[in-house]
Amino acid sequence: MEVSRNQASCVDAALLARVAKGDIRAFDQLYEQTSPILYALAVRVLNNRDDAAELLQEVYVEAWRKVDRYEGQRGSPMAWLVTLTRSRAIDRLRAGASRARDVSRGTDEQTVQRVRSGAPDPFDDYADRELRVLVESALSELPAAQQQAVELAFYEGLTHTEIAARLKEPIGTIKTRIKLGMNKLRTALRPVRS
Amino acid sequence: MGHEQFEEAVALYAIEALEPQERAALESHVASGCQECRAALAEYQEVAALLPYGLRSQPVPHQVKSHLMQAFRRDFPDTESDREKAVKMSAAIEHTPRAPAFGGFFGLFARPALGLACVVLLIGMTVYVLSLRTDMQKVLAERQQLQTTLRGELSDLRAQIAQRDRETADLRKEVAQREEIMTFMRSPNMKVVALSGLQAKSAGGFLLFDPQNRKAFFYAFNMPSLPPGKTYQLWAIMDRPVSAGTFDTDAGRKGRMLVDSVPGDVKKFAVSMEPQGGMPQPTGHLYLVGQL
Repeated sequence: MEVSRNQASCVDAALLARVAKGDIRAFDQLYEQTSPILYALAVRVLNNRDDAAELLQEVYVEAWRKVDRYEGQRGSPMAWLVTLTRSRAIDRLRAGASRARDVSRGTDEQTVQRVRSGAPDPFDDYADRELRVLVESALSELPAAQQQAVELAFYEGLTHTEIAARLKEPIGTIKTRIKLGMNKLRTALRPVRS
Repeated sequence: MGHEQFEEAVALYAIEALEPQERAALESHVASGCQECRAALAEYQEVAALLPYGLRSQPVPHQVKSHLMQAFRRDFPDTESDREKAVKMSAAIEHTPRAPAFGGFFGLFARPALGLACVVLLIGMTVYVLSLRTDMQKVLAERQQLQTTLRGELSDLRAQIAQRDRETADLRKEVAQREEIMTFMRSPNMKVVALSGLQAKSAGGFLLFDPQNRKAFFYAFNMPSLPPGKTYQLWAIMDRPVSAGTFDTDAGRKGRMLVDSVPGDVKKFAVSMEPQGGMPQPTGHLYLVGQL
């Protein structure tokens, strides 16, 4: 599958290099291209739009400060930003800065349906429509248990032990679900990985 | 923990699902130079970074950008480099072209050539603007005068048109009357009744009467001028007088009138002077009388 690599997925090391040199327009471009995805990630983790907006601001400030430390060989710029955003969101979640959450929320049907909906996204201009479709498709093809395990780890920052405790499943089962799920995703998303 | 176990742990590491000890062990293993695990880790981390694309994008609140700008202004003025970054960031994020700083403009005068050029440019522009303004005011005044003249001419033309309309209406009325008279005169049944003056001997009149369709045309001349509030009234006389209508005289003391329906079995016609609007029966002197 040929996927056009534009918008967030098109953010490249050259853009970050310009940002590192203090090119404010480059930083603005980076923000415009990546903020919708990063904000969606923050909302998903924190389950609170205000907290997510605050976090997003902190993430970009940090990105601006640390952009000169970015190493291209350790991942794409978008991966770097996603990791930074997720990491800060999980930290905030664990610190209890976010609103109290329903512990069962991460496994509810709403979350799964949102990923599987395939409904038109009003922000497709920003969200790399083809890539989104591909990722949604890859996630929807995972068995629900594998998807659930992956999401609990990625979006809620739970370790396999914590997931096993929450789902009342053996640790080995959870590890296997994550491993299989990630392996399938790796295969399905190979066309768009750099 | 053997290599195979590390290889299996890589997928969990990528989404941070490992316990801290397991995580540290894998990092140590990769750091020891295992290229296979390093490559696998890079792949899984890239997969993890794509996961947010499966989320529905959220509209980013507008204030994030403005707060971000404020944060940069607050956080980056410490060093000259950071201050420059903050200024650039503000300009780019707001997408608002910035006007040159006030001091920067006058800073140009520190350079004599540029300062002189600016002064000359300013003077030239001022003169040009003043000239343009004077020309525009002149043109505006001329236009207003022209507008006033045209309005006056337009008013005169409208008055003339109204006058022409009235004259046209009178002419049409006169033409219609003449055509009707001609119709009377061409009628083989038409009868002419001459009326003689009684109060004024020079006064007279005639009546063209068509007994078949009962229409008549009456014409009077040399009639005495009517006092205010008075009018002439034509009577068709049978056993008793029946009004056939009233008429006034013009400046030539002439009067004319069409009678749509002359009462039947009429024997005489007479004209008397009556109060304006006419009377049911003659009350004033008879001025004209004629026998059919």
